[in-house]
Formats: sequence, structure tokens, C-alpha cells
Amino acid sequence: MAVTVLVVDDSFMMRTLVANIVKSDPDLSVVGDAENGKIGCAKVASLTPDVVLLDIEMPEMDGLEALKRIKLSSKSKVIILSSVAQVGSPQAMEARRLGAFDVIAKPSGAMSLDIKEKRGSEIVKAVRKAAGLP
Amino acid sequence: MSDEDLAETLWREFAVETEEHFEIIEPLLVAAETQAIATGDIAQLFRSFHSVKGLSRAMDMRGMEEVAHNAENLLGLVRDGTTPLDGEAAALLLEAVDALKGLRETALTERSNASPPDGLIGRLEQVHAARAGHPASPAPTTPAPAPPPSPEPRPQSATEAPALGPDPDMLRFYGEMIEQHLPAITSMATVKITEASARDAAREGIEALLHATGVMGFEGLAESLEILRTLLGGEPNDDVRFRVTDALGHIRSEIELIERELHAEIAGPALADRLSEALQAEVHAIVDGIMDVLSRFAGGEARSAESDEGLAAELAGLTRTACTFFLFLKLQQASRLMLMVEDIFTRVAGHEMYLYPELLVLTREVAALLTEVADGLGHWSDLDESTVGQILDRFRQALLVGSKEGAGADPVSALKRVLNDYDIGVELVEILSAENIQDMIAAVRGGRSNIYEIMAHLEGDEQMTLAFVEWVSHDATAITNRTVIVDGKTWFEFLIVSHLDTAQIEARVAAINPDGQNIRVRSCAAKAAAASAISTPAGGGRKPPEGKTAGGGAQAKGSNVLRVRGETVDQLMAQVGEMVTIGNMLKATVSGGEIEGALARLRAMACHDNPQDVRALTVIEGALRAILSASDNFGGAVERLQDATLELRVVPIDTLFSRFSRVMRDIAQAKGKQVRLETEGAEVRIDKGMVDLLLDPLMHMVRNAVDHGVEMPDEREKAGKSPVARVRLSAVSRGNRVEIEVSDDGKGLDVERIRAKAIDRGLVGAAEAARLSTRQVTGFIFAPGFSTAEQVTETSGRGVGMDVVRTNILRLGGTIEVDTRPGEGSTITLQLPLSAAIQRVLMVEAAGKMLAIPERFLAEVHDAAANDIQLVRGRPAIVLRDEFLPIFHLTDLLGFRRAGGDDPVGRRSIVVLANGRHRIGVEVDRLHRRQELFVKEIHPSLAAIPGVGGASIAGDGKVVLIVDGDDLFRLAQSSPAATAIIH
Repeated sequence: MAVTVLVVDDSFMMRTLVANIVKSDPDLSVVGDAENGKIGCAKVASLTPDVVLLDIEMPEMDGLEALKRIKLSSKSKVIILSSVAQVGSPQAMEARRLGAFDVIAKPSGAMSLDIKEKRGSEIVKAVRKAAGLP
Repeated sequence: MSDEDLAETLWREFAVETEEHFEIIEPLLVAAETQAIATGDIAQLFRSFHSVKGLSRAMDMRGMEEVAHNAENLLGLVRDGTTPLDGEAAALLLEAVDALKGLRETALTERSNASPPDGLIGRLEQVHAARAGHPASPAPTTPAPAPPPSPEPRPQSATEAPALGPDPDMLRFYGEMIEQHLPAITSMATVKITEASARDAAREGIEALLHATGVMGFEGLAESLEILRTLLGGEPNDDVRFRVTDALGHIRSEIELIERELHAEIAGPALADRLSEALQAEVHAIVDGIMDVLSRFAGGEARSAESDEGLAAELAGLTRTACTFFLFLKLQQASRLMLMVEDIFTRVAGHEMYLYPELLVLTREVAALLTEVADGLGHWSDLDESTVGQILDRFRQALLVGSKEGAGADPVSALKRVLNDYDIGVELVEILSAENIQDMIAAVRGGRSNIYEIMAHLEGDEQMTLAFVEWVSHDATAITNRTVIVDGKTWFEFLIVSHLDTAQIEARVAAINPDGQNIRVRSCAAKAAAASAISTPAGGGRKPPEGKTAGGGAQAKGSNVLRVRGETVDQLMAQVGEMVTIGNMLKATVSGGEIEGALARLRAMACHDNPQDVRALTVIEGALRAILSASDNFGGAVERLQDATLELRVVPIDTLFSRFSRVMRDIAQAKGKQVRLETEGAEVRIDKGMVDLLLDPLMHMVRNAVDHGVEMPDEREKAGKSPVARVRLSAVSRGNRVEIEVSDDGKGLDVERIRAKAIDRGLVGAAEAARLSTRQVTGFIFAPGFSTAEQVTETSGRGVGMDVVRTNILRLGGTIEVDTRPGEGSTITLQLPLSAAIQRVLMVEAAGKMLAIPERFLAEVHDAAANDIQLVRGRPAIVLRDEFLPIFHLTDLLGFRRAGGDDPVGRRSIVVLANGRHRIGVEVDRLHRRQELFVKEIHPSLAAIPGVGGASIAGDGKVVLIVDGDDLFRLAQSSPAATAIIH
């Protein structure tokens, strides 16, 4: 059974891009997306995805709050996907402390990526790792 | 999506989203140039620049990324409060926006990166450094390098992660979760725990909290939750409930501990409130129980030791429960009081104490105090210490008097207990008055501790009479006497107490009556002394006291509430359902006329000269009449039994209503609306099965009401309404139907829009639409796919709307109507049967099977000649009242194999079905009768058959499939060549 992934980001473009990258791996399946933390939490509850890709800067409810709520209310693994969360940044540390499985940067240079590279992209690697896939 | 398509999509969205952000950013910055802007606006500015940065980065537009990154950095300082967003900063940021816009143009037209205007990045960095209070560091050209994969092992699960207790946000969310799951969990402490659905909800809540508690690292709390989970796994009974209460108490203490340690409020008060709410009813029940027992104590002259003890034991049990409750609620005084009452009645029950009447008076006062406690549970108020102290003192006094060591001046009922220890004739005890017993006790205490029964036949011997009376008055106290006649002689039976022992008494008696013929003595000292020294005349034998009192009756009425497992009721229901079916069969057989017809024929053929024939026929006719009458009576009795059984399955509709408050709050919050949920008629009772079936339709209606029905607060205020909207759920019981209303005080349905849309959709012609009443127009919202929502939203779903709700309600045998007033709101009214379990059906036969068609789909039954059926566009049809009616064979629709070929000339039985929009004719092999069927849980493999909605067992034990009318219409529509005709 494919690993189910929920993409939470306030940008439709980003959701499209991330979903496409995730979907390029046949073992992964995007079961839904959400445009802010609040909807994200609701969808985590209803869809119970294996992995949540979570942006930090979002209106309504930001990613850190959503992360806290998701950790409390579900067993979904959360990967923070944000350019705010650089290695060593306070947000990244905080996200880790709060139980984020991984903190990675948003995709860059999407246009120069071809489909094969996408498969090997960091997002796919992180999701696979979170789901316990090789 | 191919890579090219994806690239196109991404570019298009990049254009749209960056534009949107510029539109957000510019006016805010413009405003900021002249005045301070709100914190929320600053956060918005930060987010927008941040988003532009991310979008640019994704598209590899490094120039834009760099500008946005620097703008974001500067705004980061503003957001932190390090620097104000003053005119200078705003102007610089506006410049950055202009640069971004230019770069975006290039990006979109040439799909290539361009460098930012000279000097802009440098100035942004300078301002940032100056305001951050440190010199500009050499800025990296790539502002957001991707973090390298970290080498250190990562925590794999939440439990391995450091405990998150102290995080204030986490604590708050954790508190919210506790509050969310509280009602379900605290309900475990109430009688609701016997309901499977309540247990499921509680289990769900516990699992969720266990997970969260693990994440928080609150081990003590997790342990208590584990205990609750274990308790939930067992058979639900009072003992479990009791232990649940205890575990909940621990949870409460744990939470309080955590709150104290962390100086934070998690959910302590909410938990306390919830618990007190749940327990309030329990305490009231205890008070009622105490009052009931008390009334039975006071209830009659004729009482027995056993019933009093039973009642005392009952009281002790009730107060024990109350004591635990109060301890758990930390109501010290109340539990102290209960402890005393429990102790006293345990002792009364254990024969250690007499039931001194003052005890009952005091207990009554205690019950009144308990009512006070229950009412005050909401604000946690305990009883006044001095009040409790006074009552306890009075109890202690009563204890001294009532204890067996010091039996005081007790009235009859309690005092007769004293006599239990003595072997006194029942008849004598019976006639004792209170004074008698008091005299007796006084005498016993005064040293005359031996009790005797003396039988004296003194008639005609005046000397002996005088001697006897003198002796008795001197050496003994006569308590009472009565006259009995034995063998025609009159005897006096005396009950006396004396300081003399048996030998002394006998010696004195022998002195008065030497031959012992006229006076006989029996000692009552030893209870076990069964041998009677004197014969007890007139009925002899010692009857057990309870045999002749009302005590047994008083005990029997003790518990008038039975707890029965839900499955037991369902089994009973199924059996009754079968009885209904069998009763119907019986009635159909005996009153179908066939027997009578056959009899009439026999009578005509019978040889009238043969008296035996005639007699035989008369016997049969008589028997038939008797069977007919019995069948009628049976039918009536079964009907009453069925009603009574249905009554067993009903639960308060509150169990349904209570599920909506949370959902509504969430939707309202998500929508920025303020909505209050009101419920009415929560006590109306409804079949338990209906509760589950109604949940989804009602949920949909409530969501709709909040989502579309009520307006935003400001809109409401403009319309002169309270900003807080009202959504109301109400239930009224009407005979064997229940009426449920979902109403809101929102803007109401837009009738004209619905009318226009109905015309647009071709549901109705323009001319006809104009004539339709409001109610007729609003009825269109139940048409498939008809949605008036301006936009698809998170909460209201996508198009699956009121038509699905309507279908579900119809399936339950109910009706649905909507009423609306512009500006005042809408009301949806559901009429439902009390139970979904019994359906009226028409029994038919097709493909050799018995099938039941629910009556609500039935328009009429038509008997057509085979040659009435003609082919219309390749599909069989008949003309019925000048309209073509397409005919389908039920066997074909259900996908069964036909048993045999069509009879080309015979008559065809056509069942005409209607679903409000369409009519179809369904041909069956044979029509049977109309009857009521008890719908059983359907096996999944049966449920999978299209067109089958349920199953039942016929009187002969065969399975009857219940046809789903809606499914039949769907099947008919998808059947070849049918579409043209039906539409």
C-alpha cells in the first residue's frame, strides 16, 4: 500500500509542485492538501495520512502550531518543509524539539529538474524515510 | 501531468500568486509610510514577502528570491519588535516591490532570471544591519541554502522525543483536547456506560488522550488513562462505573498536579465541571433512591424485621456510593456525612442496631442536604461544616439510644425487634401496643428479665382467679393478655415478665393450681426452645413473621429499574418481529376466505341426511370462528407487545443532539461566525437504531445551517440581529412519530435564486415556476446536485447535498420539508417513525423468491393483460391513464435469473412505483399481501446485491429480501434503452 501524504502549504503553486514531486515516486500517494494549518489539522484527523509535509509560514494557523496539534492528536509523521527552517535556525530547532521528523527546505529550481531527478529529490527521500521505506 | 504541463501550470500559478502578494503588500506599505500599522498587518507583510521568496526559489528566479529574502529579513526585525516599520523602511520595501515587479515581468516573458537593480540589495542589507544593531555581514548570494542531511540520528517517534510538557502552546492544545474528549470520557461514570455507542466514544477519547499524554510525557496521567481503557474493556456494570469514577478522580488530581507544577491551566476546571455535570444526575438519583427507601420504611404498619433490614442495607449501599462520589469530588463534609449514614445503616442491616425512628428523621434531613450538594456541584460547594457537625451529633445521640445495649423508649416497629430475641408467640406479639412494649422493656431493665407465656383457664373458680391475679401482680408484670378458646373452654393467655426463673414460676403456679390443669407456663427466654410448655391454641405453629406482613411487597417494589443489555433487547425485538410476521401469516390464512369458501363447498356437497357430516362441518365452522377470533386477539396482543418492545429500544434524543455542539463550534470558528446551538426536547425518546442513522443527515443540515444559513457577525449586526447566530435542534414526540427540526435565524433561503436555478436546470418551466409557492420552490433544494452555495467550501462538501439527506430520511420512512423566511432564517422539519425497524411492505414473488417492496414507494398495483404490454422504443411499456409507463421485470432489475418463460397470454401483475419524480412499472410473478416486516441487520453479502435494502424472516422461516425502491429506480434508469422513456 502506498504511503499516504498530506501537503500543507498556503501557496497553490507550491502544493502543486510538491504534490508532483511526491507523486513521482510510485510508492507515495498524495491523499490531500490544505492551505493553512487549521485545515491541515482537520485533514490530518480525517485522512490520517502517514506523512504530513508542512509549511511554517501560513495564515490562520502557522506550521509550528499545526505541528504541535498534529503531534498531540495523531500518529502522522510530520516533515517541516519551509525555507524559514534552515539548519540551525531557531524555527528548525523548535520544530525538531516539537517532534518534527525532519526539517527540509522547499524545492528550488523546479524548472531545471527533470522527472528522474525529482524522484531522487530531498522531499521524496525524507518522506520515504519517515514512512520507513528504503 | 507531463513535465511540460506541470511547468506551464507552475508558471501560471507563479504569475497569479506573486501578483496576489504584491496586491497585498503595496497598500500595507503605502499605509505604513504615514502611520503605524497593526501587528497582524506586519505579520501579513512578512508572510507575503516570504511567500514570494519561496515561489521565486521554486522557479529558480534567484534575483527575485534575493530581493524578497532581504525584504523579509528586514520585516523580521519589525515583527520581532526590534525596529519600527517607519517611513524609511516602508519606502525601501516599496522600492523592493517595484524591483520584484520588474524582475517578475522578465521572468514571465523570458522565463529567465534577471539580476536585481544595482545597489538595492546592498541598501536593504545596510538598513537591516543598522536596525539589527550589528554591522552588515557579508551577505550570501544564495540566501537560503538547502540544509544538508543531518548526520545525527533523529527521533523516530514522539515517545522518544523529549517530553513536551512545558511548552505553553502544547499545554493549551493538550487542554483543548482534554476538553474535547471529556464529555465522552466522563460519561463513563454514568449509566451511559451501558450503551455501546457511549463506550465507543469514550474509547476513542481515551486513545486520543493516551497518545497526546504520551507526547506530553505525563506518565501518571497516562497510567490513569490506561486504567480507564482497561475498565472500558470489561463488562459494563455498576462496579466498573464505580472504579471509573475513582480513576477519573485520579485523573483530576493528576491534572491539578500538572497545573500546579507548570503554573498553567490545562483543563482542570473544565474537567471538574464536566465531572460534576455527569455526577450531578447520579447524586440526584441517589437522593431519589434514599427518599424512596425512606418512604418505604415509613410506609406501613405491617413490617417485618427482614424488610427493614433489607431497606437498611439498600440505604447503606446508596450512601456508600454517595460517599465515594463526594470523596472524589473533594466534598469533605458531604462525604463525612455519608460515611456516618452508611455506617449506621450497615449496622442496622447487620442486626447491630435497632432502627430508631429518629434515624429516619435524620436521614430525611440528610437527603435534603444532598439535594443541596447536587445543586451546588456546578460551583463545587461543599456542605457547611457546622451544619454537618450538628447532624452528626444528633446521629451519635440516636446511635446511643438505638444500639442494642441501650434500647430506649422505642415505638412499636423498632421495639418489636427486641422481642425477636425472645421466643414469644406470634399472636401475642401481634397484639402488643407501643405502651406494652415500653412497659416490657422498662420491666426487663428493672430486673424482671424473664418472659413467660401463661395460659390460664380460670372460669368458675373464683378463688383460683383471685390467687392468680394477686400472684401475677406481685411477682410479675403482665404485659398483655388475650382470650382463646380451646376445646370449647375459654382460656386467658398472658404475657408476663418476671424476675423469677422458670423453676420459681412453676413452683408458684403449682401452689395456685396443684393439678396443673388450669394454668400452664411457658418460658419465652430462649429463642431456640421450640418445645411448648403450653399448647398454643387456635392455629398453633410459629409462622415466620414476614409471611404475614407487607414486608415482602415492600421489598419487591424496591428496584423498579432494570438494566438489560442492548443485544438482549435486540434479540427480543427480533423475536417479536417474527411473531408479528407469523401473526400476519396466520391472519392471512384464516381470514383469506379460502377456508370459508372450501367449507361452503363442502357444506353444499355434504349429505344432509347424514347427521355425522353435518356435525363434522359444524365443528369445523365453530373451530374456524374460534381461530379467527383468536387470531384477531393474537394480532392485538402482538401489536401491544411490539409497542412495548419498541419502547425498550428508545433512548433520549439528547444522545444524538449532544454530538453536534462540538462540530458546530468548529465550523463556526473556521468560518469566523458566532453561533449558539440550542436544543429542545432533548428528553424525547427515539429508537436507538435511528440515532445512528440520523447522525449523518442531521450533521449535514447543521453544517449547512452554519455554513450557508447564518451570516457573518457584522452582516448580522447590520441587519439588526444579534451578532451571535442561533441554530436550533428540537424534537417533539407525536404519537409513534418523532418530529425533528433544524432551524437557524440566518438570512433564509434565496427563493428567487432557487426558482431561477430550477428553471435553469430544467426542473420546471418558467411559467409554472412563477406559480409555485415558496414551499414548492424551496423543495427543489432536494433535487439531485442542486446546490445554492456560492462556492464549494471545506465544510459543506462538494455537491453531495440535500438530495442525499432527503434520500436517507425517506429510506428511514420519514419525510423532510423546508420552510424559510427571508432575513429570518430557515427551518427544516423531519418527520420520522419512532423506529426504523418495522416497515410496511407489499410481499411479491419473483424468480421464485419472496420479496418485499416498502409501501412508501408503492403508487398502485395494476393487473395488465399480456397483450397490453407493448414495445415503446424497444422497451416494454403499458399505457396507464394515458401515459406510457415503462415496465421492468423485478427479476431482471435485481439481476436474478428468470424461473421460466413468459406466459404469452396470461395476466401480468404490475407494481407501480413512484419516487416523487418518476414512475415505473415493475412486473412481478405473483402478488402476495401487504404486511409489516421487522427489518433485520442485513448480511454484507446481501447488502451488496443492487436493489436490495434489507432482509427479514418470513413466518415460515424463509428469508425475505426487502427491495430498495431508490435502487430500483437507479437500476431501471441504467437499464438499456430505458433512459429515453423515464426522462
